[in-house]
Amino acid sequence: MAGRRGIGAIATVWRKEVRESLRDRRTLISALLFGPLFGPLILAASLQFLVHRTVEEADQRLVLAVRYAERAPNLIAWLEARNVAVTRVALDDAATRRAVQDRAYPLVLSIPADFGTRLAAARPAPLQLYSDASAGRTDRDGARARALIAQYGAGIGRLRLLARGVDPLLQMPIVVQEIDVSTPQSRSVTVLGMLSYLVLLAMILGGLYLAIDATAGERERHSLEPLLTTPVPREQLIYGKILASATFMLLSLTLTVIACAIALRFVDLENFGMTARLDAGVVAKIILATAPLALAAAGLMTVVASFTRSYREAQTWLGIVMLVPTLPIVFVGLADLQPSLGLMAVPSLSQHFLITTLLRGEAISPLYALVSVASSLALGAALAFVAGRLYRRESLLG
Amino acid sequence: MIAAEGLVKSFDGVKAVRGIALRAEDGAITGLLGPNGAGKSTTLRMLCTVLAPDAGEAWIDGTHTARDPLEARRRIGVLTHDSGLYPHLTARENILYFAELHGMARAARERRADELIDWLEMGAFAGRRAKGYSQGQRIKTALARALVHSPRNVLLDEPTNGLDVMAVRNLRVLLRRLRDAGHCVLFSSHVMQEVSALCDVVVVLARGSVVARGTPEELRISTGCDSLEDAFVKLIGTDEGLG
Amino acid sequence: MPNAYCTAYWPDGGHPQSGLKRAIALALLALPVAGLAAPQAVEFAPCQLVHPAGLATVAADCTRVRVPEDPDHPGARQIDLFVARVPAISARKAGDPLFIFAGGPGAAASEFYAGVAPAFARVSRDRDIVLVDQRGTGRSNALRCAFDDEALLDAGDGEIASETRRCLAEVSTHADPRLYTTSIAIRDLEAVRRALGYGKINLYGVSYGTRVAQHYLRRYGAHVRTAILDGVVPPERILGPDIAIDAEAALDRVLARCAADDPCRAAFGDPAVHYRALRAQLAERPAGVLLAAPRTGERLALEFGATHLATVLRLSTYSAEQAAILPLALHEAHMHRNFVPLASQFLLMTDSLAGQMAYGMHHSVVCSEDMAFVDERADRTALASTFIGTLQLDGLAALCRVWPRGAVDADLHAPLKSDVPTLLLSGGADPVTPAKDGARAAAGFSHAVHVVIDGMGHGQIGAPCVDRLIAEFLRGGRAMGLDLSCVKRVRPMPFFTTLAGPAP
Repeated sequence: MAGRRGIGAIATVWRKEVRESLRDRRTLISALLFGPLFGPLILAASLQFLVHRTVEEADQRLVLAVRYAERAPNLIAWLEARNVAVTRVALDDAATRRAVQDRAYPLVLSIPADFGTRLAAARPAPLQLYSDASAGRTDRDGARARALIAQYGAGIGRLRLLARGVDPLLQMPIVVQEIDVSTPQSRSVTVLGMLSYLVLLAMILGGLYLAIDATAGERERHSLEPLLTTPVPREQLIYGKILASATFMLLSLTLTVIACAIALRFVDLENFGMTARLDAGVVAKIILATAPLALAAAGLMTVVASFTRSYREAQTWLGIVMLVPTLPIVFVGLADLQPSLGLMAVPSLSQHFLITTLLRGEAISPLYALVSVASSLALGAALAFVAGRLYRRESLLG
Repeated sequence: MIAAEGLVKSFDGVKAVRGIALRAEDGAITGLLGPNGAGKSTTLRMLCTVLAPDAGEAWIDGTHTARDPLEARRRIGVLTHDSGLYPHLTARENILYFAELHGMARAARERRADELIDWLEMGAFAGRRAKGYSQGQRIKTALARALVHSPRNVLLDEPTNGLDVMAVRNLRVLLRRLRDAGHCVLFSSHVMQEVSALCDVVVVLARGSVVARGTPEELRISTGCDSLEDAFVKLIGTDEGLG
Repeated sequence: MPNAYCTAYWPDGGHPQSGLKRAIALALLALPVAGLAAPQAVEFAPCQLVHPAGLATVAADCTRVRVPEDPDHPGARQIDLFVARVPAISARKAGDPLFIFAGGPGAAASEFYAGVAPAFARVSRDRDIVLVDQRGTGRSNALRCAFDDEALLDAGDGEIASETRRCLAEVSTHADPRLYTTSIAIRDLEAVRRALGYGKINLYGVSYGTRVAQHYLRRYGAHVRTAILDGVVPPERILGPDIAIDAEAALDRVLARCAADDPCRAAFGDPAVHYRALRAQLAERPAGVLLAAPRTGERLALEFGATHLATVLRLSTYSAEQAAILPLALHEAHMHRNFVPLASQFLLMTDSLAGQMAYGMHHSVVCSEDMAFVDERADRTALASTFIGTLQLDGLAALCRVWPRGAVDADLHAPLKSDVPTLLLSGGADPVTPAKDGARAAAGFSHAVHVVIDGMGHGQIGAPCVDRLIAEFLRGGRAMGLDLSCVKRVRPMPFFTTLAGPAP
């Protein structure tokens, strides 16, 4: 009888697991709060911070302390005309180093005694810039100061040549004219590269607790043994649980992508010449492109959880294993791989490629999409099969 | 009716059950008595197909447990050592879940659940989630769950563990009613009083083997002991682990 | 003398560039008055705007807007206006773009922009920038002529006339030069505004471009949100005899600044002394100079005379950076008979001007709008003491006798009254549009601020802090309350006191 209604049993288990998880605050928090809410929030907040820092720092006055400013009044006047706030300081070398380290003066320009004589002799005239390259802000301000000083030097160099009757453009035998064909959407992918990472993680996190609960948790609560006395083949029990976990992953995935689309509206990426407008169509396509991976992810989580002896152990293991699907993305980022038919057969990697393509606003190759869906579902089926085999083991009861 | 012959089971090379044979008849309460580690739970688990025996065979109403485990399971209701309820489901939902797994139709499930809740006097808590149940409530729920498909055979693994006196009395009443209704009731215990008070037949286990079987009276007489307690101590060779 | 001398305003312009993949022609603007065409769906294609020297490129979207050459005869010849839009970086951009009008006359807005784009970077963050090559310039049916600058430098009126006739014949093959005046050009700009579907626009005009901007304001002020006038030519101003006088005044200021600067005075004393002595010397007898050509390195001999000096003096004061080596060059020539710095600058300046300007368009504007209003019998004694003298006036007069004059709006030179918020920028040592011109123009604006940057030359767009100023002005849309503190800190490039450079 049970054999004939095997699908029914799977559905029964699925329904029960979903219902129970919907009542479990921990599962709900991880599925509906951590991934879908905090992930996009953190993404949006960090992007917004980055955008503002870049734009604002360029607008702020550059604070520069100068030792021996009297040795180069023209240089100082030139800098002051260019949004540099110069503070004249009298510090020796050791005190200057300390002041830079303590951030009392994050950036100190020192004018050596021979600056004037070397400049007058048309020899490279030295300037010393004290900065702390390990401090991000100071480092960026240092780069600004260096660029300004270089600009002043370049102006003198140009006039030196002019005064000698040489065309300054002789120094530029070749000019590269950049023709950048990137679009606001494609540029934003460099910043939004972490979006697919985030989406995958949030998706897995959504089904993680259900996977643990349905296996290690059930064993720990001793509800597994009565379950095994029911006339349902064991693999059908686990299929139902995997599907329930996958369902929660899909739920989390949907919420996460929608939340990302909403959160990114509040990021002024436009100031960067980017646009991250995830319209409804792109959101739907990202969800559809990623969905096939849910089965494989749920299968993987369930298989690993089935090996563990306790809820706590499962948590520890899955915390590590949930990163596995994101590894290909990291690798691709490092190796700068481009999508190919072969790579589209790698689950999680193919989803990353599909999401990136969608973010770029480009069309997805149907073949690529097909390979991605097929390979992901095949992996999911394989993992489900393995999980089913594992459930036949007697050591399951622990 | 439950029958077993020559059941053997080892865990990591340690023999837990060394060739047990037993029979539990319909309309009778059969008790598996033995100290901790005697092999009671392992035997029950083999009978309810959760474990496969290394050797030996078992039948439920004549159905071979290894050859047709699903059919065997359909014929048994099991109350495991721990009640194992789903804390986020109500008692009624716990019961209905198992009914569904047994393939019962929706209307039959509902009717049977009502029946059991009524019969086990669970009305006061059946709609509440199982999370805060007392031990008695848990056992009742688990029992209802085990009986939801009206199995002919009922297996109970140390069902009185952790129950207070009143709850134990209630359980005894329930088990007798099951027997009187013609069910085959097989339960394990290390509590002698319970067995002597309830069982029609006692199977005494020690170190994985059956050391005696018979009515409590037969056991006392055959060992030549004045009290049943002395008879058991004599049978298992030690009073260790016997409560 | 249609070389640098005849360049009345702003020596900038450019080469034609490639990059427009397809020109999308609009339907004929069939209405009798250009600029009243119904808005069309304009299709843009990606393109690159290239600086005349090729040093910088800017990505833009380009298109063409077709207008009748003669608005009174819309059925006759049509010309395509080259229009480039530099899209704002931000997708949440302001709805009103900035239109940029280049100088010259004869420079193309698209090429001018490619050279100064960094100064508009802040504006470009959240506002489209629209560049219309004014009719007759750049890629809008440019009225270009090939000239031999060197040969014409000391040319007499006859040679200028024949050269101008040759130029006229050249441009007449594809244009009627009478139709390339400011009066008609602003109708084009209005047509573009409508074609692109903008309600209000902002204006930035530099040098001659300020005349275009002000005339546009006069006609279509209701469509202007704000205006920036950089190196202001007031409407009343007629470019003529004043050119020589203003140039002399600017030179005086530059040399006086050197004399007031301790290191500069220590090195050269009063540089005006060298200047006057040199002028007198060269007026008497040109100096023979042997030098390596600045660019090619070829050995060449040059008879460096008063005209050459005048060219260097005039163009050196256009930018404060160039002016930084002027006292040194004068000193070298006067004290050491070393004319290489002056001569090589002359060569470089004329070299960089050649081919950049659409001289035909320049002539159309100057002859119709300026020389037509100059009284040639007026007293010229004031000019005698200047280094330019009557040289330029005579030259312009000679070519305008040949060049056909176009009709000019009656109110072109009438004082302008406007309440559009306006930012006026002047250089303290501007040789062409001195600060007093800016002040005069500012008087006609009820919501204006006039910023004068000490020591700077013609056109302030490259000066430090001006990029912030215009971005803030455009963002707020009001002239009052602008933070002008940074303007006060601006200093021109310090003078070179030796060939090695300035004082430290």
